[in-house]
Amino acid sequence: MDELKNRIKEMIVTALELEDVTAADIVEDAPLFGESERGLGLDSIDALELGIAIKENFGVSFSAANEDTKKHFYSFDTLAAYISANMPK
Amino acid sequence: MSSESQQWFEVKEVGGSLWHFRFMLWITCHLPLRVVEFCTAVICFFFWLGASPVRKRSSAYLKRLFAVRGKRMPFMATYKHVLSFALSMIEKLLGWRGAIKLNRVETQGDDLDKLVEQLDRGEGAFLICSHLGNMEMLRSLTGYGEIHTHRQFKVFPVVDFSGTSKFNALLYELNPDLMNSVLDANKIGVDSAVWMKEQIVAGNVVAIAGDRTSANSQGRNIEMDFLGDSANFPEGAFTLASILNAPIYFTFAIRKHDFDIRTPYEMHVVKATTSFDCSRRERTGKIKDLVREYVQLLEKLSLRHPYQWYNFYNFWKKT
Repeated sequence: MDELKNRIKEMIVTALELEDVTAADIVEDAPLFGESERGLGLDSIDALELGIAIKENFGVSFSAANEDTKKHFYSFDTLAAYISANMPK
Repeated sequence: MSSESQQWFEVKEVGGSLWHFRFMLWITCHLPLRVVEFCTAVICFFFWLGASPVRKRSSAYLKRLFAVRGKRMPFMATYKHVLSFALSMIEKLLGWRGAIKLNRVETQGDDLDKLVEQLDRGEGAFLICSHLGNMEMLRSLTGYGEIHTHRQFKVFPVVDFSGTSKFNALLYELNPDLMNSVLDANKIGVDSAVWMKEQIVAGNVVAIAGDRTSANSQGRNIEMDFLGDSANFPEGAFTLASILNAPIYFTFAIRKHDFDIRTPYEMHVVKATTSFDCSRRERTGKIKDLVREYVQLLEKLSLRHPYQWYNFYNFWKKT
């Protein structure tokens, strides 16, 4: 799981070209979106791009139900849990 | 809010019930086209007399356009605009019903060949179209004749459904399969972005209009000079192009003669020179470049066919 988490963090940094944030800086339980001191402060466009990157890197898609997707994208933890549960074996 | 400054999505769909549309459909399908055109002209005249907000919004556009041409807006120009729109609706119904073939197009010796070659190689594309002319004609790319592709592929239009629910219900009845391939612009999320990317990678086409701001995107617009004044263009459509990072083509299908639905269509296809193989920091500027390219083309073609731009709302911030 830790190895997977690190891969996901690297993917986030690469896909969003974060500059002053490294993989190690990502706070796992902080909200990814919106204003938050510990979070990344992402917006909806970032979400679309993360979605595409997740599909390309891990082969995981999201359901059409918007509310579910929002839950999965809440924090790094929820996203990592979703990816690990849905990765093709 | 005054009717002039209303945005299109705040304007209620005109025409009472689905029953009206059904009647219109029956007429369209059972009478000769010449008679249909005549009836349309008469009905439009009375609609035009009674619909002063439509006249005002139409003239906001036409006055600017004719000013750029250095002329005054001709007498009854707004009526011609309404009539041209009504004819395009009839054409749409006939097209969805399969009653007219969508392959009567005249190519312009532009980038259509590039697009067709690319699709034949199995590569998908992102098309930015407009409310100038008939977007349905883009479907003619997907089959038929010698100018088209040899490979089967699908076209997925991204459409804002708000405001035209009754007309859409009718379209759905006419051709459920076709309607199911339409993506709702108001429901673009992570899932649909991923899905669109997959479709393009699989060699299909995603199309979106670049000249209409959407109901839930107010404040997310890009300003660009259009017909002499600053107008709003939807950031969403162009941002989507940047995220999907596929080859982008601007496509327009315009009726050769404004008021005759039996004439062929001019098919304009122009490959965008802006591409998004760049860092995210450069992207905002590139999106603006893309909008600029698009608007210049839109302006050029709308000056040639003023009555075929079907945007009956005030596009410009200043009136």
